[in-house]
Order: sequence, then structure tokens, then C-alpha cells
Amino acid sequence: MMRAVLAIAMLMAPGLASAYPQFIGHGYPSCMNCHYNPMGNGPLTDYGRAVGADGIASGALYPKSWSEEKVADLSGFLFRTPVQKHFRVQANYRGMEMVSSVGTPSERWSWIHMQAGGQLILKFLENDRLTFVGEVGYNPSSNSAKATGQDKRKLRTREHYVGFRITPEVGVYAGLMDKAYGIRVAEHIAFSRILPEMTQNDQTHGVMIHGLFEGWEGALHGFVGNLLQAKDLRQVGASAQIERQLFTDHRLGMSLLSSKNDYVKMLSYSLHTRLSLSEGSALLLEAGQTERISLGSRGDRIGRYALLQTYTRPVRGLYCLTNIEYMKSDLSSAATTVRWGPGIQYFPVQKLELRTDLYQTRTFNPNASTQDGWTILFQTNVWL
Amino acid sequence: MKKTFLNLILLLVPIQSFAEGSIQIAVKLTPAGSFVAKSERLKGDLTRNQGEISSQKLSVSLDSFKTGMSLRDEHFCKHLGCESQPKAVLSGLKASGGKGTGSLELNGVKRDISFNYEDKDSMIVAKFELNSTDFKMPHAKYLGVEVSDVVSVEVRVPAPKK
Repeated sequence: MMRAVLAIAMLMAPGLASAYPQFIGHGYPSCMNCHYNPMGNGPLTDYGRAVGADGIASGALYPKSWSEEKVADLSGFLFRTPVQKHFRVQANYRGMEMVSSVGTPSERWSWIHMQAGGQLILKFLENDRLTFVGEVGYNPSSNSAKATGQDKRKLRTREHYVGFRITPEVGVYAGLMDKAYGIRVAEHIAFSRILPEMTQNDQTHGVMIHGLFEGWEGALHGFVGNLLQAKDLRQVGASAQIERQLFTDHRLGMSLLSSKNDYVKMLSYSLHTRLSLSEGSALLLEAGQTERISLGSRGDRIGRYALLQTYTRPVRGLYCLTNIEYMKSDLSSAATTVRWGPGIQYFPVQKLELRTDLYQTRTFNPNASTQDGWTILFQTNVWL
Repeated sequence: MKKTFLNLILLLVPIQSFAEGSIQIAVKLTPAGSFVAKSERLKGDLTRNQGEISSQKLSVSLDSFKTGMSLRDEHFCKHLGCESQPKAVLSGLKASGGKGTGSLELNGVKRDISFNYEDKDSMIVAKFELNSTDFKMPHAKYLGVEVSDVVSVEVRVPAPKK
């Protein structure tokens, strides 16, 4: 039973990857100012940490004698201001209390360690044009891995790459990183991440070219799969994502991904938009389709998904969010799943995020009857 | 007769507006992003006189600009030189036919500027670009993120037609 709960927890847990594309509402349509990875996610730049301390976290709990400048100075590793420019260390922990089957006799509370990792960043040349980023973290075993006795590694690297900005507009990145595709929402359980296989362990080795021009941003990513995986499982292929800036702070984008391994061939495509609603509020919308063609056996299927997220910021530090998702994992099947729910994300002080989500999951199927699933998540994210 | 006389006086006497206006300054960031600095505390008056608009002085306190981030508010104010000159002052404003000129004093530097404007009902909306280096401001950069020297300014001043 415990295994089942853990498995559900790993599926339900949002936010393993700390990407916050909703911060377009703060005037940051690109991830590049705040993350070393220009497509978002992973270690924060010095600027990103200062923005987190001053612009994202509530100022209400800081001593009144502290200036905003002092708060920003404390945003470095272990609350220190970096004294040199080439070397950065970061660490983070994310855990979650999950309440599953809410309101039923089988209601269960369990604490899950989702992520505990350290990051190392080396950066050189003017404007940090050359960067090395590496991450190693705790790897919680999945239920299926435990059952089969495989995947015993307790440490896992989800990111290690070298990046070089040839010009301020164009950069090349090579190594292990997330594929360039769709909106990189924090919830790796989002249907928009599950169907095209963009979840917390789907990083790939490859080479990505990133471009940021007046009104345009995009990436072309060629990959050979995760080299730590068995060769027959590695998804080899390419993906591309492009976004067009509309007015000042709105983006309209599209993505394409094509890959294959020894067993399956995948083609995914999506349209998305990220709209700034000003003062920290934003709306994210993505709709896409994934075609999976089985090689050597039957089982081809086409799945479709949609995601709508809204974030509103009533006061500094507090975000109220709404999540609505749709998934039809197989168009030839009658079943359609809809998940929705409100959430609250609170940054009381810098380096601390508290988040609560309520999810209701309903499957519509004329041939079968299933109970709605209710889940509550209480998340804590600490970074140093 | 009395009414006609009053109308005649209203036509001859310039109309003045004393209400507070607003300013928005759109700032671009490098490598990406932008922010808008807003102030609702533009003070001064506009005078309408037979299709011409003029003002002796419009001013705004530099510490009244809000950018959506407290630290950025502080940096913005300091960068504009608020410690030595707390206000930006536009004087000698003259405008007609959608174009205008004036003299802007900022960071201890006075320079002539020109702008385009629209007369929207009871609101004058003027737009122009400023280069911060013209006002002897240093290039702005914070923790690797740079700020464009050229900013877009939009000024809104109430100006009732009657």
C-alpha cells in the first residue's frame, strides 16, 4: 500500500523542476535573465536570486531596518554576497505532504522527499558567456523500479551542460538538459508534460542552439537520449520551440518534437501562449498532440492535451493559481480525463516557497464509471 | 445677451488644467525582458489657447515611480539622479497640431526635447523617446542584466477643452 501511495505521490508531485514561466507577469518573458539555462529550469543566476529575494518573496517578514539592497545582498549562497564571479554553488530541497483519497475511508497522509540536490556553476568571459552547469540530486525510486528491483541509484544528475553565447543573441548548449518543447511549467505531472514525455526524468544529452532576437526567441535541440539509460531506451531525435513576442510582455509559441528508440517513434506538436496580466499575474495556455507509433508491435496511439493556468498576485509574495487540464491519451478510446483545482503559492521570505494545491481528477467514459479523485498537496521548497 | 457675452469671455480666456497627470517609462532589459516605471504624481498645468497647448512647468518626483519591484524602484530613482535633483522638470512646453517641444531638466542636465501628442477628449497623451546618456547617466547594469539607454516615455495630462 505504501508503495502505491509513493507511486501516486511521485506522479502527483508538482515542481521538481523549478521553472516558473508565469513570471512573464513580472516583465520577464524570457527565462534567460534568471536561469543559466536559457529555456528555464535549473540553477538561478545572481540576478534571478536577487529577483527572487526582492521581487518574488514577500517583504513583510523582513526586519524593517533592512533595505531592499540588503535583502538582495543576502540572496547569494548561504545568505552571502558572492566575492568572486567565476564559481557558484547552490543547493535545494523540496518535500511534500500529500493527502490522497481525500474524504474517503482510505484517506492517507504521507511526507515525500521530492528533491534534494546541489548545483555547481562555473562561469567565465565577459557577461558570463561561457558557463558550465552541473547538478546532482537525490533520486526517489519509483514504484515500478522498486517492484522490478531496478533503478537502485540513489543519486541522479538531471542537468550537466556547457553553454557558450557566441553573441548576446545566439548561444550553443551541449550536455544533459530538458528538451526544448512547450511551456516548461513547474508541475511535471501536467498532462502537457506527460504526453510528450517531458517529465522530471526525461532529460536528454544533446546540443541546443538558442536564439533571442527582437521580438523572437527559440531553440533547436538535437539529442541522442540520456546516455545513462540503456541504449535501446534512448529517445534519439530533435525538437524545436519558437516564441513570438506580442506587444510588450505576451508570447505566442509553437513546438515540435520528433524522436524514436528501438520500441517507439514519437511525434509531438503544440501551440502555446503566455500572457502577462501585469503586476505578477499571468495566464498560460498550451494545447498539443502526441503521436506514438509502436515499432514491431501494435499499440499506435494519438493523444491530445490542453493546459490552462492562471496566476494572480494579490500582494507581493503571494500567488493564487488555477490549474485546468484536459487529456485524451488515446483518441480511439472513449476515456477523457480532466483535472482541475486551485492552489496557493507563498514566498514568505527569500529562499522559501510554500505551496498548497487541491486537485480533482475526473475521467469521463461512457463505458465505465470511476470515482473522482481528490488530492491535496502541501509543498515546501527551500534553496540556499 | 448676457449668455453671448459669457461665451465670448470663455473663448478668449485660456483654459487651464491643474489635475495630476501620469507618466509611464518603458524600459528594455538585456538579455531579455522589460519593465514599466509608472508615476501618478505628475504636477503642473496645461493651458489651451486657440488650438495651442502650453505649460510653464510640469514636474514629477523621481521617487514616486513604481516599477513593480521595490529594489528596482530604488535603483531607478538613484539612476535618474534623485539624490541630487529629486524632480524631473519640463518647462516651456509648447504644442500644436500633434507636435510639441519643451525643455527637460533631469539629473542636473537641461535639454530640449520634442514629442508627438494626441488630444484625446480631455486628456493630452504625449509620447517621446529619451536617451539617458544625453542626461549624463551612466549605462545601467545590475548582476549581469543591462538596461537599455533609450527609453520610451508616455505622459498623460488632463486638459479639459472647456
